[in-house]
Amino acid sequence: MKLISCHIENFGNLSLRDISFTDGIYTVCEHNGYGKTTLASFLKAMLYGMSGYKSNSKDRGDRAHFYPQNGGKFGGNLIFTYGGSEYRIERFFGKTSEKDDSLFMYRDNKEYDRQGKKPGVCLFGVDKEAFERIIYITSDEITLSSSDSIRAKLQSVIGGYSEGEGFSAALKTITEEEKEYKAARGNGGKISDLSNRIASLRAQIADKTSECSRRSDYYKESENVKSCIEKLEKEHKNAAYLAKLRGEWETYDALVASCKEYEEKLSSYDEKYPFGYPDDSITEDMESKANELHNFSINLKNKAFSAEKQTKLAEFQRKYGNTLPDDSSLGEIQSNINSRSQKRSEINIYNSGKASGRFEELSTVFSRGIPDDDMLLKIQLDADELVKLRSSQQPLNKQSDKPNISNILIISAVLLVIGAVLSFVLLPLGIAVLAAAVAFFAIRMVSYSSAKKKYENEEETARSAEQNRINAINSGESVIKAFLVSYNCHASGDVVLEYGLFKKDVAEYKELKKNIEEKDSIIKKADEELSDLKNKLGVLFDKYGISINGREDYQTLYNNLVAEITEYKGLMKDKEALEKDAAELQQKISELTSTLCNFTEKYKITVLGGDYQKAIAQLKSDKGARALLENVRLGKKKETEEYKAEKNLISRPDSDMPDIDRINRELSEKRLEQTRLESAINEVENATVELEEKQNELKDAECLLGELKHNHKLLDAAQKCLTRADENLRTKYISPISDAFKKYAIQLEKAIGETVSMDDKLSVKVERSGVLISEESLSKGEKCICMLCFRLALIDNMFEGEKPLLILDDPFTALDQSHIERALQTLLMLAKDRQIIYFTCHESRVINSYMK
Amino acid sequence: MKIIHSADLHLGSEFKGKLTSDKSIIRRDELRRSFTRLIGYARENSILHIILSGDVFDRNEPFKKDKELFYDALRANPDITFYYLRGNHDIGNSYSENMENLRLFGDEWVYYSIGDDLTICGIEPSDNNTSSRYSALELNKDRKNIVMMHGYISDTATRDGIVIKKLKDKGIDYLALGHIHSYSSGKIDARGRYVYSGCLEGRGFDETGIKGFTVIDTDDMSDSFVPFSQRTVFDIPVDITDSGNAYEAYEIVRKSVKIRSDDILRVTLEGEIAYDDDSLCGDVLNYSGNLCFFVDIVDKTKKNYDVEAISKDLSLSGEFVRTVLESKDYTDEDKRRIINIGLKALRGERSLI
Repeated sequence: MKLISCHIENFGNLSLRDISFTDGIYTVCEHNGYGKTTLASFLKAMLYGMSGYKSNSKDRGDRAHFYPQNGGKFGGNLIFTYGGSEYRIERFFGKTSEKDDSLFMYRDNKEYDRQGKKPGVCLFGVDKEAFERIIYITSDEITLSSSDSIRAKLQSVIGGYSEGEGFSAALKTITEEEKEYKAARGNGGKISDLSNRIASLRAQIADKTSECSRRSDYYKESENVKSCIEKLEKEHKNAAYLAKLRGEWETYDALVASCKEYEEKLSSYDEKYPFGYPDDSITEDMESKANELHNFSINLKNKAFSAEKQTKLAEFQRKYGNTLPDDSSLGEIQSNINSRSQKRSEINIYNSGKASGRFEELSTVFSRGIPDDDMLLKIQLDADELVKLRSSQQPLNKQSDKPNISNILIISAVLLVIGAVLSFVLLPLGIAVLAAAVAFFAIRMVSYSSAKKKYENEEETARSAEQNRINAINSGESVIKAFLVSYNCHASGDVVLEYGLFKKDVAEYKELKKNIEEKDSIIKKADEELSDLKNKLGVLFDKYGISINGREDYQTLYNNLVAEITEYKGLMKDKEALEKDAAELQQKISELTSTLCNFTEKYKITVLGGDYQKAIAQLKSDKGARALLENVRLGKKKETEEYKAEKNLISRPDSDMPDIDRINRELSEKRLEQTRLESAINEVENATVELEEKQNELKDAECLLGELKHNHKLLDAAQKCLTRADENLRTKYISPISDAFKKYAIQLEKAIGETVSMDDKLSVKVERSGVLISEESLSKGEKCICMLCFRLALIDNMFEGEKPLLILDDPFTALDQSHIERALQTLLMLAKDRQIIYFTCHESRVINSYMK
Repeated sequence: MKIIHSADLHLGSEFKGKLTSDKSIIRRDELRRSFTRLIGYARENSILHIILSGDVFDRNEPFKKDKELFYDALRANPDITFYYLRGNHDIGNSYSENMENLRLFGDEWVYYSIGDDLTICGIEPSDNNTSSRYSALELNKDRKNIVMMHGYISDTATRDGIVIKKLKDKGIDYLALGHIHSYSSGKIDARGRYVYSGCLEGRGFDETGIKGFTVIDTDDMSDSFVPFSQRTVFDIPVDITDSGNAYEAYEIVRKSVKIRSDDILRVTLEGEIAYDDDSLCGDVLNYSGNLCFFVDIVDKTKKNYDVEAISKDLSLSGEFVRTVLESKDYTDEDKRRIINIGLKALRGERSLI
């Protein structure tokens, strides 16, 4: 395969770019960011397309990565030769979905549509991933680290993953999952668990089936019991009906008996009144007359003069006879009573004025008599003398007149101090002052002594005179005091003043005593007049048999007399009126009695004790009661007839009463049995539902078991196929690769200067100084070149037809300059029989003309 | 006058679709209550005749509680007349009570007159009347005739097969059929038509779509289908070709499926996907858990691995694929799965199936 040219319309940062590829090595040496990787991705996209993505996808892939942000058609075309034909792929992409892509392919300028959407797969027999792994080589892909082996790399290149993480891990995963279904040893795993569950379900179903088989029997039993219950209920109903019918006949009989009872009662009333009952109007009239008679009789009784009044009247007649006092006699008595009352009032006034507290108080003071006027005069003189003595007191010497020595001493001391002070200042003056001080003191002391002696003599004389005066005062006071004490007047204060008061009391007592004596005289006269009046009234009252002895309430006596006379007159008047009324009433009573007597005899009405009212009331009562009884009897009769009709009582039941207790007992037993059966039916029906559920569950479980076993079988098959595939892969590729590698080993020897070989296990050996050493001893550059040769050997084996191109994306970045040159020279040799698209970003890794 | 035509109540049956135990109980209860709901509808709409064209019970010997539910409902609605014809499921011991408002049938034609001009008659499927049932049917063509039968439409006369052409010109206005669990109808002749009312509730993913009953208006002998199921069962195929993984597949499912939260859904994943995996169902199911009452996922996608391309790869993967493909020990499907297992193991993935 060989690329001829491409046109990039828009792809990533490449836009409207035309590239013509050369034979052999086509080198693109540009700085990073130029778009080398973009170009490589463009070639890949032309051959294999790009996956679409969803708007919410996290990994949007190349389509989103290379979508031209500035707009324009997304894609381009690629022209290449393969198998002797020229192909042209025109491909444009939608933004997100493959549905919007367009693809046209031409072979030798003719439309070619047998390649599907992935011409790469069709042409090269490898898918996009394999194309990336094998044909598209980067520095990572070509590096062989110290821990890698070619064999591991082979796995990585072929399978897309390292050996450890691929086959073995896959096998382990499958085995583990197989164990989940079925344990390698023992009975564990889903299949075993489910088999156990199925066995358990089958056992449960067997049990339930046995249990459920009784359902029909229960139903039959239930129907039998139900029919028994219905029969018993019918019997019970019949018994109840009979009981009811009997009860109704009994009720009817009772009603009939009641009717008869009322008829008998009515007969007794009719026997009582053999001539029938008078009309209501006659009865009413007679009743009115009877009432009138009754009232007249009562009135007549009331007209009788009562015994009490009769007694009273007799008493008054006995008391007053023909001496009933007239108004003038009564007026005289009243006049005398009034006069007497007036006199008593006057006496009371006088007596009340006579009584005086002051007089009583003074009477106590002067109980031993009143002092005469001479004695009072003498004591008055003594009191006057005492007053004089009290006012004659002589004055004593004044204290200020007493000579004073303190002034002399002070002045002398001051002079002595001044003298002493001056002595220190001016001695002569000081001495003079001191001398003057002594002289002053001596003179003044002489004068003081004589004045003091005179003062003491005058004082002694004054004291003697005052003592005499005091003695005279005390003597006077004692005399007056003794006088007052003799009249129970205890002078505790000034005797002169006390005596003054005593004199006033004497005068007041004399005046009060005189007044009392005058009133006593007037009262005595009034008492005499009262006595006359009493005698006069005694005579007047005595005329009517009233004694006033020991009584003072003449007015009360008079009032009683007047009341009795009034009552006596009233009684006499009443008696006369009653006697007249009684005669009239007696006449009416006789007439009414005659009428009523005729009436009762006509109807044979019994009158007890002449009580026509009661007899007529009884007549009315009996007539009413009979009417009531008749009504009730008629009602009862109607009720009886209606009851009979309502209950349709035609014939009395003649069958025996069934044993209702037995029926109830049997009914109760059957109902209990029915309840038990219902419970059993409920259980067996539930069991049937459970059985069906278990059967469904068993069906599902058996189905699931089949699935599990099948899954286990598939896992086992997957494991076997994977193992066989791994063996096939080894057989198919390892020996041919080893052989092909030897072909490239010649190139290697030229590049690294040492003999390189590969054994059947893809282990690379280097002969160094006659000794084979392992690939691990190679330098990094040597390893890189070995790896390149290995990839080429691999490609030679994997692509049976035309060799594909190689796309190298700066694979030698890890090499030093000497190894880069050798690697590039190797590339030159390899490019003789294939096209190599070589991208690099550094001049040092460009193949120079001299290399060629 | 209006008459309800219903059939295939299958009282006592369960939902066949791997429901969880709690949802299974709920659904079983809903199936049982569908009959009482039907009566409720009749009451609300003053409909006094309900015809039940077979398979009222799910089994020949129905559970006592199911029979009690049925007969108690009849007892509680004495003003509604029920015409109960047994089907292939409940032909056994399903009659247990004679009730005033219950009209029964047998293996010979039984006729009931309603009013002046309406006849309801029916015959239960039996080996004894496989062919005689057609000739034995005698209808007064001057009356309106509703005929009840249970079975599938067939060209040959069998116990459960009903030959429509043999019922032509018999005077049938409305042939009330049971046995098929979806509503459908067709012509018998110029006068009459046959109608399958379908069942009241879907009981599995083989009973998808709207379920209900029909209401016959005897004035003009027209009928209308009344959707009635509490939940609708859906089995919806969804093409997930454009998905890149299980979550994207779920997103496509979610956008494609328009259902109510009460419904029961099975999604059949279809199309070609470039990613594998055998855990796709489980993953999509986990994402879809809250879509509705119950969700089931079935994977019928094709894997569009370019196995041929991989087989050309000069690698262990390629060699493995080649080895599997060349083997004669496995079916193509097994080969696909073995390749899948091996490639996943080689990619270092842990869960292979």
